[in-house]
Amino acid sequence: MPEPLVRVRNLKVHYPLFKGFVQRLFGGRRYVHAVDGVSFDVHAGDVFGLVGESGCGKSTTGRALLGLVPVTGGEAILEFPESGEERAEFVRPVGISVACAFWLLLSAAYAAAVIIAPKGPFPPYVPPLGVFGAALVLATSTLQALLVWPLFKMRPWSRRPARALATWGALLGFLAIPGGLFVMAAQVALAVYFGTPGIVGLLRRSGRLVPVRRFHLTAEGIAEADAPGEAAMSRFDRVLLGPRAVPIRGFSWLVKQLRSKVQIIYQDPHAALHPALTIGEAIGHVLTAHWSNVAAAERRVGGPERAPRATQEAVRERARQLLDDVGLRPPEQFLEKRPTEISGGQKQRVVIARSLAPRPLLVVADEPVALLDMSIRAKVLELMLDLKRKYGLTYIFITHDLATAKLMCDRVAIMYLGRIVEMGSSSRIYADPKHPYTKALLQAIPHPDPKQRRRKDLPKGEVPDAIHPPAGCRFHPRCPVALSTCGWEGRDFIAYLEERRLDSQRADAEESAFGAIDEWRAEGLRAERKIRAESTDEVAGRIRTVLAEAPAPLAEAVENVVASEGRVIVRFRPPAGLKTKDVDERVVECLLY
Amino acid sequence: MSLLEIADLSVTYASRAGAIRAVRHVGLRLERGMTLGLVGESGCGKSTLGKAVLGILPRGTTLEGSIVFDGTDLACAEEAVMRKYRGRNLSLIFQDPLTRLDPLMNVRDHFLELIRAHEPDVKEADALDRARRVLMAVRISPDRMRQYPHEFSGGMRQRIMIALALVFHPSVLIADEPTTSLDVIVEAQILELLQSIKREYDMGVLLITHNLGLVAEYADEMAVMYAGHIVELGRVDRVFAEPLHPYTKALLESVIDLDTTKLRSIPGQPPDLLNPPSGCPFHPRCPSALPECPAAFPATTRPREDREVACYLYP
Repeated sequence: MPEPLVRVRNLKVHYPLFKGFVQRLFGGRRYVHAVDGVSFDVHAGDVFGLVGESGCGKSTTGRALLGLVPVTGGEAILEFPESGEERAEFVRPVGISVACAFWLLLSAAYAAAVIIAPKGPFPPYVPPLGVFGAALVLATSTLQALLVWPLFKMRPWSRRPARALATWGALLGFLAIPGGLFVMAAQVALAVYFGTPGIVGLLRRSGRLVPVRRFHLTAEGIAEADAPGEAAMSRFDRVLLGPRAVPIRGFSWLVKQLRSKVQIIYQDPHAALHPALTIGEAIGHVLTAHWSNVAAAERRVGGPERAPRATQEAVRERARQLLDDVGLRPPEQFLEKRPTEISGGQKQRVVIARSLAPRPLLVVADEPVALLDMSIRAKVLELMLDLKRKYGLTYIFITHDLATAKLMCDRVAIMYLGRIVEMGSSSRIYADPKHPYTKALLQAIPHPDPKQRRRKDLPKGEVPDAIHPPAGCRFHPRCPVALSTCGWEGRDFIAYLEERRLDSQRADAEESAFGAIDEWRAEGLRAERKIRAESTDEVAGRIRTVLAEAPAPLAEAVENVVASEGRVIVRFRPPAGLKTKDVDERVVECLLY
Repeated sequence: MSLLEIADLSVTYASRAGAIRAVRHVGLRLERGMTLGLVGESGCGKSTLGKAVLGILPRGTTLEGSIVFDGTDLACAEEAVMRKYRGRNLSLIFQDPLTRLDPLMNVRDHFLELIRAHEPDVKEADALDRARRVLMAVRISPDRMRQYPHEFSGGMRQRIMIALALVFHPSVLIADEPTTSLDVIVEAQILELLQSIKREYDMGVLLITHNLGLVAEYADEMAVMYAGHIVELGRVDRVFAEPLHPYTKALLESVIDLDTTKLRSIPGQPPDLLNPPSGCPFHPRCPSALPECPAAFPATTRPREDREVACYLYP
């Protein structure tokens, strides 16, 4: 089997919650566990479905792969096929560090010279600045070196960092006038001298693609995995250049490289298109930004060897072609229209065309038809399948609709509250679902056939909040076939008491016996409540009677009910370890198997 | 006499770009204990119809025809009369409960405000007792009355909306896409709940939805709307078994369910409401269009028992 295009291992994305300042200082920060350890592979040419209810983390997983949200833990490796000629150009790594070290040394030497010889060793350039002036020069040149430094981490090199280096150098040089003039001149000379093979070579090759083959997304940010030239780096260079990953917030050359390979189709076409831009402009912006990737993609299919310039006509021509490919004909007319002038289905086609503009290889489709009318959904889905063949795409298809996923996907992963509960080929999973949650989902779908009406055996309750996901298997509080080892804990007991209150005959008697629901506190495996000292034994006894009436798994999971000094505690046994298992040609995370 | 009878109702919105005829010559009947599914794509006028019954259309909207409830024609009723009916005899459940519940009011206050609006002299204890009863009916613990909307999950908020709609035992409940913002499992839970409450309170439910699956599972009769017109009306099982209008046929074919093996869709674009196609608005997309279709909208006929169709194919 070939290497997968996407390999996700134990990926976690936690969103921090912003509570009050004081709480942040003392209470620690709380997180929404949106994605909490998912692993999957996506092979080139597949449609991989991420299916689940809202809040299960399916969209967050897709967004993490584009670097739209920072990863909290685990990793994702995206590997794109390389085509021979496009190899990255590198600055000789030794050159970089030596150049940087020289800048600092030179600045120090210069400052020293100013202090030792107040009149200056080079009379025409250095006015008598004194100690203060020398410190200023030293500070600015150090700052300069520090600012230029991170640029070296933005590998592979392109002409962009080289240009930025020249601009920043010049700007800071003028700030330190007049002493800086000298420093700047020396720096440029050194950079050019030591970096010659890389910088000059790249400047000459301006406009050519410098592709990254493997992206590595981790908590540190995004990095190029196994970059060519990595082996040539000395240990000294590695220490000097620091971690290779660049944070995904803010500008990064690597993020842009990633986004030219991975694109997203958003759910809401009305919100995804800027109302003030014509469709031609919206697509044109993307084409211009990712022009080198567009040119490289064209070269692969027999386009010109030399990349064409991104002129208005060239961009327009490609935008026209894209609109034609998504079935908006005649494309010339649509180029001039604004989003308000076209229908929802047409807007979604524009969104698809725009996502294909950088010539991606992987497209994350986040509920692409959820907001479209029933009568045009099928057409958009068909279009996506056509484009997949035409552009050689791989899809990650995110949806809450199991029926659509069944039609579109080769493989599906059913997600629940940040975890994948069942994953395998769609034909197997739909024919014979194994996880109780998958079964529940399939049963809940409304069936458009009045003859098949039946009473549904639905799981109770709703998806719990992801700030404190349930212990053990996250589905256990709703699961119809839960076991006593599934992860029962304190709050499940309180939820059970609350449920009993809905029976109006019992409500009053229980309120007097156990107190109001909000007097109970759950802490992990324990549920407890303060009570009057004289009634402890009586309350504990009544809790035991109530537990006897409780559903068997909950009752069996209780370790003991303790009544002591003014409080009663219900304690649960710790849950059994939950592991994913291969069951009948798919992966299931459930204790039943 | 029917519980609610809509006859020849037309609703026209005034907009800067011109008049939008959202609902055109619609006739419907709702009986006690019946769920009438009103299906159609976005912009077909199904929500407008629901709002027209409750008289909550924006100012400047013209209403023609009649909506007869309890011997009163609501289409030309005074606002004061509407106020008496609205929320008491005619209740509405909206699509998105989070935007319809006041975030600054707890559940208890929502109930008190509603009950006092209709019965200004009610004792607080009595009002709360009523609230408690309907909350129990929708399976929400009355202990949570002091909580605010954001403390409830999506499905529970919708349950609270339903509880608010039930306080006065209305005879007509209009559910406008009640589960569109909810997940499938919760959607099924809410509709099962509505079903049992309908029986318990003996109401007529107008279920407005775009989801044919929901209509198939929970409605007794269905009306299919397209560009403001009702094109087909009949018993759910019959319509699904033998759709007559070409739009109903195409719509049923385009549904994607677990048994779908081939993607089918309706050619062309949904109609532009400012300039709807002449005659039968579906004719540009219709596979069996006749020469007379663009000329005038066809009269409603009864080609089968219990079925009304507006199409030239069934003269």
